[in-house]
Amino acid sequence: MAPETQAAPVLPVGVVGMIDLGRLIRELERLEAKLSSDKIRTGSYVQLPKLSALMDQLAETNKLDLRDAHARTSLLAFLKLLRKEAPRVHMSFSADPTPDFLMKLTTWLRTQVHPHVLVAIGLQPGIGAGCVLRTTNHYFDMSLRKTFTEKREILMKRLRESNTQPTAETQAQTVEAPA
Amino acid sequence: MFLQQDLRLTTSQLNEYMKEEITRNLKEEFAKYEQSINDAKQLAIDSIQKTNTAIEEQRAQLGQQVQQQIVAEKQQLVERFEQNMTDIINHYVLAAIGDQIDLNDQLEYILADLEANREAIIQDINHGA
Repeated sequence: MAPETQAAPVLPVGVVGMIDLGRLIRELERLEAKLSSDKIRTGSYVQLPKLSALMDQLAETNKLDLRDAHARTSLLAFLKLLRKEAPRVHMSFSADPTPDFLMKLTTWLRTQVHPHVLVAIGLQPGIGAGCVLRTTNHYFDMSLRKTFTEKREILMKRLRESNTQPTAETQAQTVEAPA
Repeated sequence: MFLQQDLRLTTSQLNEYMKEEITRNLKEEFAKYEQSINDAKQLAIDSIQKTNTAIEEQRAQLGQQVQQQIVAEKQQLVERFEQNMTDIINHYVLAAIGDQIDLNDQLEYILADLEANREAIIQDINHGA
């Protein structure tokens, strides 16, 4: 069952796929362990260590104070639930996408498809332009090759037309040749 | 004396007769020989002509077969080209400008395609979940 979307924390676009999610979970667990142990040792408020940019982004987007143990626990539970239940898609491109590209793509997917969708990125140089998207049960070929296949009849028609009707250029060349 | 004359006459007549007979026989034999040579020559000519005709027919047949094979092979090549047209063009485009197509330039095209397939993607994700 997918996580409840209405009251659920927001996943920032910096968190693209499972790798980012796993990184956040490990960081949060380390943070929890460190803060708990420091609190036990000192018995008083302990300053938050330096967090990764992604963690900062996650906390800021959801307006969470990670000094609060309850916030950390809820966030960790949410991230683990996402790791288990969030919808996943696999997208392949002809080249490595830039972070900017990924951000725009993830933004579109989270706003149009599902707010917690996770994206796995693959490489398929053979597709040329476009991409290939794989979901649980479906394979969407949105590559240039597929477009060419769909437009094949147009190409064949144009080829046949060009074969039967010589172009003005070739006719001019034929006229000039005897001289 | 008469007997000698008679004998000489007879001998002469006999010689004449033999000469005529031999000549006649030789002529007949030579005529037959000439005829048999002509017959053999005609047979040889006929045989050579038949062989030539057969060779010509076979040559024409072979030429036709080769022509048909060439046409069939050409047709096969054209069909194979047409069937693999998209792969050929895809390969050509990639080879020609593959290095110059930046992924960022494709974003609009990719998002347009995603939009076109949005409902199907959402449906599959919801059913999969």
